Amino acid sequence: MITRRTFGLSAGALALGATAGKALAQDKSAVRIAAIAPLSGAGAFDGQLAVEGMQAMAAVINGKGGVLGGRKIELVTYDDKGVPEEGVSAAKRALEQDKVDLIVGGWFSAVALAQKEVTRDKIINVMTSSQHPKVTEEGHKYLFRLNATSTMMSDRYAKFICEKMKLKSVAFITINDDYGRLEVENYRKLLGACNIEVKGNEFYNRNDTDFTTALTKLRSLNSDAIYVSAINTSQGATIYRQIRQSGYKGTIIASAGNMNPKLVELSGPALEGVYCVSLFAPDTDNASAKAWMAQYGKMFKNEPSFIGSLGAQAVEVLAGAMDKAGGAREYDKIAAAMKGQPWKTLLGEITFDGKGQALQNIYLIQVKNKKIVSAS
Amino acid sequence: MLKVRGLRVRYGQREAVHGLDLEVRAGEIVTLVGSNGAGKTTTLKAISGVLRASAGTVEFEGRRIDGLPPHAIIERGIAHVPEGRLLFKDMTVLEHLELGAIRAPRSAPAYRDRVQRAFELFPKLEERKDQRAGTMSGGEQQMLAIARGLMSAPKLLMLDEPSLGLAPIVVDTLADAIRNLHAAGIVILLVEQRVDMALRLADRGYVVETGRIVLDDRAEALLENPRVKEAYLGV
Amino acid sequence: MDSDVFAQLVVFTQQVANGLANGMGYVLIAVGLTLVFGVLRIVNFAHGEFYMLGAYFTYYVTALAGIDYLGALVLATLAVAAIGIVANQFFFRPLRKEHEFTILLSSLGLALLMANGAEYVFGADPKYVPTRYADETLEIGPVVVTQQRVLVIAVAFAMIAATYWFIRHTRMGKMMQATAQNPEGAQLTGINTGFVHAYTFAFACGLAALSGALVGPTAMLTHTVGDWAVLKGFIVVVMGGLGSVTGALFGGILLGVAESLGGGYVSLGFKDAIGYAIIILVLLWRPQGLFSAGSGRR
Repeated sequence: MITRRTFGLSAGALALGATAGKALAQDKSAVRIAAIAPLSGAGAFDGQLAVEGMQAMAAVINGKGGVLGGRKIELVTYDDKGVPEEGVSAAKRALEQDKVDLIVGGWFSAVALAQKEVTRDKIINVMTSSQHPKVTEEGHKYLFRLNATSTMMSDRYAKFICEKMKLKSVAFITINDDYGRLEVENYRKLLGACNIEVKGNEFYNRNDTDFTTALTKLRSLNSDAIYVSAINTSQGATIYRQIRQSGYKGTIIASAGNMNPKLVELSGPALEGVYCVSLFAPDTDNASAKAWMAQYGKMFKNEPSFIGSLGAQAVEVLAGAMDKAGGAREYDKIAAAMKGQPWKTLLGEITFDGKGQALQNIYLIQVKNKKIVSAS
Repeated sequence: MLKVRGLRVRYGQREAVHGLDLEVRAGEIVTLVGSNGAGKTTTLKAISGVLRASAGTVEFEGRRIDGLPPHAIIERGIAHVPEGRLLFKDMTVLEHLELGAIRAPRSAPAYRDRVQRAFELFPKLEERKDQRAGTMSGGEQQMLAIARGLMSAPKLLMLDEPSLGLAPIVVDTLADAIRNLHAAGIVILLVEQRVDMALRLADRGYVVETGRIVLDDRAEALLENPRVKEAYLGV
Repeated sequence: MDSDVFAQLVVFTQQVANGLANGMGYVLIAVGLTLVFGVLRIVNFAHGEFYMLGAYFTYYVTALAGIDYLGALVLATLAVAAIGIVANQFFFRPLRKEHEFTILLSSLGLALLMANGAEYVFGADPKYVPTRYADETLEIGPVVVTQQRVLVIAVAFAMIAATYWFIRHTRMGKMMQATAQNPEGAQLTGINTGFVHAYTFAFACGLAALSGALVGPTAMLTHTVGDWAVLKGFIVVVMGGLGSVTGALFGGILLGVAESLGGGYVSLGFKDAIGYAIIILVLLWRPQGLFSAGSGRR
């Protein structure tokens, strides 16, 4: 199993050469950012998308001359297998053995929650897609999180569901982990508040591939809609398909923040017309997003996805903050810079609160003709 | 017909047969006698190709057969009826005969005739033809093992301890069968612990001790040999 | 009838139908595994990888070459059977005289090699094996089953019957029985056991591929799917009795239905645990398998 790959990104090598004259006395070694993601196991594909997003953004930045007056960004990847223990050991290796400059990780909440204790107050650690509120609850000084918390997402999503979907009842199929349990709890409260009856919930496990047992029970509840909580593309697609295959004809509500082109492709007709909320809408006219998507298209055969855009945003913000702080290891200054100003990113303008939690724009999107488009 | 020269066989580090010479001529019944663990069974296994010799040669009808796989050696005309019979416990008598026939030469009598011949030799088998081997008595199993070997229409039949664990009356039946086969022109190499019976059946005999031939003579002479008498005949 | 009782009955029937469909998928996986164990005395950890290959080949032949799903399924089965011959030649045949543990390690090595090779060749992105039967349902009253699952059930039954017939009534099948029951006896009977091993292994790999092609479209396909397949296969093989084809049939159905009912009426989290629980019970009380009658014919 390939657990660690070092990608020397030479895309910006030429541009680097051009700017090299300006800062002869300065350190010209690459800034090394650890990319800790699930590269094997059930979440392998999502991890791949995440790392690809980071690589494309690094290439964009390196192409423009890199950071800190000509240093290029190099990613060192680690496989956390989607498992907390592996995430902890990856972070330790990054920190102690490889002595990277910065860490980006935390794609799954369970991993982020364990990992943050390893990096705590030692190194800037940007958590990406994890949505569990506890990740930033304590507010460690070098810890940041990009994704909206599940509470922020669910507030927005629930508002839409209550106002627009005209449902009387809903049932849930939920992943049995920290994230899933929290999500179902949130929606129970929020949807209950607008008089949508919650008829039931079925938990599934991270390695399940057959959901017919759970779906048979859910179908018998005859709810108007089924809300699917699925963070893993492969499982998500299987669930969406099996919902329709089970003969359920009601509305499907897609897991907040987990819509991506591959999911649409794999789910086939099951996702057509389904709504979702996301921080990333592929039909955006944001210039940074367009540059990133173009670069992504040159480097990879997958389509740019939400999870990749979060990885890209991590690299983008870190690059800006390093320049502002004047060094890759000036952690106090970098942290101050990140919290001190709004950042124009590929996902629009964002700010960080005092605990390092990003305040992002949440868009409503919909699957139409097998494409993810903005919905109003 | 069969010439074994300087045969050595080892199991891992331990050598069980140390340079054994042996010859079986056309028309003979030859017996290998000796105590448990002397190397008789090992010798037969090396001849039939189940074990590979570490040194020495085996010639059959003037051609080297050492190094050939067991199925190729059967095709040359040597059938080995092993100690313990090694039957297929869930398969029927007829199925054993069918499988026994797969290496028979084209020149062999028709399959049906060979089955008929086996049933004439051992009428018990015909009664039991659809019975599974695992459910038959020891004597019947031994008959089946021999019949299975005969289905390949061999020129040389090697029998390893055919009487082991059988009642005296069954042993007599087997001895008759062996004489019968010999009369039909099949050469026989017999390994037996019932030394008196073996020597009475055989034309010649070899006495094997700790992996070597220690005596080699006409069977009648061996029966009278004081060393044989003392060691194997309990006289 | 009380409508509530009727609704309960529908759910129960649906769960049994789900379990039967899953179980027949397990049966297809397990038959090859049990044959290889019975005849070659190999616990083949790589069996799931042949399942994976069958699914990927079907995907590529349909998605890229545009051949119809059923045609692709046949091609994939034959191709993987051919690969099985090669795998046996390089990974198992040279080790036949070695200790069982060495062979076990070899099969584990082959499994890892194939799984990682698949990630390298096919990529980490999940794929969906397109079949027109997956989204089409068959509705029997209120019970709904996809046509794909009906296909799995039908093919599994047909394959079991064909395999059983092959083993019992053809020369090659009888040679397999003989080799399984007494390898040295088989050699001395004139059976080329090396040849028997080769075609048994190829046949088992073909069956694994067929199950991958059939069961693959019920979920998404990734390079790690072999782990799942071999695990289910092992549970069924242990339940049914090592080396027993009919045991695999009953073992597979029992596991599928037990998982479905356990998941449906106890807890979904309990679903995977059911297989392990059954294995432990079987090993404690009936290590020869639930459906093996001691001297039963395979």
